Amino acid sequence: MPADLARIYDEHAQALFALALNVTRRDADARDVLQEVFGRLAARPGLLEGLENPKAFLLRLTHNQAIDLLRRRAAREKPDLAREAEASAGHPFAASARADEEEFRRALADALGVLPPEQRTVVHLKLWEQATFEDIAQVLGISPNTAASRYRYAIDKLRVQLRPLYNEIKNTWMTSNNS
Amino acid sequence: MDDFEQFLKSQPMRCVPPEWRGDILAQAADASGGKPAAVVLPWWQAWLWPSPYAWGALAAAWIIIIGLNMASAQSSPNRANGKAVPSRQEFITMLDERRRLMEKIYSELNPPPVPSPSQAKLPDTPGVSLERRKLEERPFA
Repeated sequence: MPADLARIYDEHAQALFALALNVTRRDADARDVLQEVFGRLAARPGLLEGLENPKAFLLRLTHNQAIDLLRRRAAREKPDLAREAEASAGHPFAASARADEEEFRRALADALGVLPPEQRTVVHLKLWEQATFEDIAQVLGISPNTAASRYRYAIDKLRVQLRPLYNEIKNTWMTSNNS
Repeated sequence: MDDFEQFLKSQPMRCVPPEWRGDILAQAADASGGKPAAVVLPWWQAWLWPSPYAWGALAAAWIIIIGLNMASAQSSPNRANGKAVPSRQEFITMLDERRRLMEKIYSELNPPPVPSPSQAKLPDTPGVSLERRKLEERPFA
């Protein structure tokens, strides 16, 4: 096992896994994506040499692989079966000990699952990778304005779906903090 | 970024299962050692991604268009020589005919001037010759 590949895995696998899981919505597919990405890196050891932002390149590679896998999956499976499989898959967020927070994370996962993959990816990169719109544009090969508009559309949809639950949690937390 | 977005951002993503690390890295190393074609395939896949069939169809269409274009370019000079463009000899003959026609028209429109009676040549009789000589020597006398 090349030491360099192991180092790249330790540095970036978490971010790549989270993106792959958020796009594909299945653990097995996220693993396939990671396998493919690291397979390519192993086949071409100099792939990351000279890059200013290797993480952006790896995220782009992961995103492309995930989208490619989604297309293959769509061609292979019936839409109803795919939706059922996605619904039964585990959500991409860590489990929480608090019931209301766990409920919110499940609702957030469901709401993200309804978004088109391109909007879901932008939201993921913006919120959980702290990427700027310029970074997102670089990763996805789109303009920063397109990235920003996709983000706004997606956040508006999430806000509509999650606002009641969010307000409820916020009020509960404020009440418990006051008492 | 407002409160709602901050709240979403604070929700942690799941961690990559630790047992995957060994398997993924081992399989990646095996794949790179065992399949030399893997070095060639990625640029094809990257180049043709995401619609290899669409790109292939487009390339085939261009090849057909270029083939038809070359075939028509080869056949068009024969057609042109046969009908559309006259040969050099025909062109010269045509110019000659046109020149002759123009000379004929010009001569009909501008006939040669008729000489006036005073300039007409007088009969060459001895008496007349004397008169004529006087006129030529002293025309206004």
